[in-house]
Amino acid sequence: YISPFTGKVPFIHVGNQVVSELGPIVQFVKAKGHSLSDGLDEVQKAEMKAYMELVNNMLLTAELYLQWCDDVTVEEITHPRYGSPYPWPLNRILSYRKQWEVRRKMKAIGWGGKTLEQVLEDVDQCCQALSQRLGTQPYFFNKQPTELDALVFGHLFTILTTQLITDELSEKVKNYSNLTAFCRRIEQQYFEGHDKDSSTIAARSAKRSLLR
Amino acid sequence: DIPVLIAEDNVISQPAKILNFLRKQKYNADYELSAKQGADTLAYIALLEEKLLPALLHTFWIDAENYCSVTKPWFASRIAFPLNLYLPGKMSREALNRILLTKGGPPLYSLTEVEAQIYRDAKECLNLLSKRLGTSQFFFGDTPTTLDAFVFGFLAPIYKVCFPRVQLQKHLKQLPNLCRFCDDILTCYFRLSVSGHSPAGQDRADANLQKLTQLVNKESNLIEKMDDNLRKSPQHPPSKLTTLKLAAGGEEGSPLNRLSP
Repeated sequence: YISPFTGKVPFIHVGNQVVSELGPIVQFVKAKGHSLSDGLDEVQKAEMKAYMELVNNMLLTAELYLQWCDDVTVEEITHPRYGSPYPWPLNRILSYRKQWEVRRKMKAIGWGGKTLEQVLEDVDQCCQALSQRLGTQPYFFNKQPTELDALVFGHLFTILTTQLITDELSEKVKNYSNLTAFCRRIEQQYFEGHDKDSSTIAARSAKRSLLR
Repeated sequence: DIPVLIAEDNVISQPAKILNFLRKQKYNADYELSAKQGADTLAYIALLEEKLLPALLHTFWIDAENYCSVTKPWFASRIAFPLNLYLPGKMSREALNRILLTKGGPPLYSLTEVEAQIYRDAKECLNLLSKRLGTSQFFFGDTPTTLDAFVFGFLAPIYKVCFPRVQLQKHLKQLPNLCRFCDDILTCYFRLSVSGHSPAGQDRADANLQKLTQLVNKESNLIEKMDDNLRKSPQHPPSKLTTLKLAAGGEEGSPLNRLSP
């Protein structure tokens, strides 16, 4: 789903309010009295925010790069997928426009000149940092999950379970066993048992096999 | 393109490449860091680039008053003709482009809203850095590392350059540990670069204040002594008293005159 308000995911629908994107959702939930990071001290909160920016900076940008700047992926996966809800020629027009927008943004932040290898190198560096920070703990700030865990899970799970032309991106993540174990653990704890629909279960088994 | 490293025949720009080059030459400020501290370094650098850099770019290149009165003349004076006519404008446009593309999506539609958001983010980032630094001298203990260099690189321009519109600088000055961090690095590593601008004037004013305090103390000692003398020998002619006072006034001289209206 895409939020009708800003056009961005994720979003939550509470009563007659729609709140989209991670930052505003976290603040909204906090205003209602729930916060995952209440148990952290000031220095840990600063660290958490820094790691969230690292994930946004590296992983999100790398995902966008792969989807929109790698010609092979763009042609075979992204254009068909992005344009699928629309009839021809709208599907091609909208996806070319999106591609142009993303490439402009990449150029503005200095990723325009990067090759795929350099992007994968950056992803590897980011995963290494996350892996070192996680260590042998169950969550990034030891026993309790925080917003950082949610963000990292969201990105890593997507990378691990989305099928692309090559497996290079997901291989980078799989190099770090504590990260894959982290994803599996969260999936089992929070997402299993909620869906009884058999087709979803089949999809999940397919995804699980990709995780291994 | 700055920063630039010129070593023998090599000219290298961009921080990441410079760091790689130095590491190959066996210079590494992060040698003593643990793996987790290395990871923290990457995370905090990402925080700086995402949250502080847009506001920094805005203060330097997009705010019209700042750009026209300080940044453009300053850069143009250091670039050769005819590039000085073209390059500052190009850098300004690139900065605006970057901010609008990365921060300008919905629900922020106007430049004013984007500006408000990026300054909010920058102030929060400064607060986070201050909390992380605490009372330590550097971010990872007693010796400087790559992170210290990055943070200094971002903070020093905000701290020291005198712009007409200075909301970031005002916020930074409310965080004394960050100011102390910048001052420490400036005195240890940049002793030679004090020149001309009002930052040097600020130092001079501080030194004057110190001298003044010493002189005032001396004067109060003198007054006490004079008082004692007066009590002991009442026939001291008043002219001598006046001379003494005038002498004290002359010693204080220019700093006091400058401060009193």
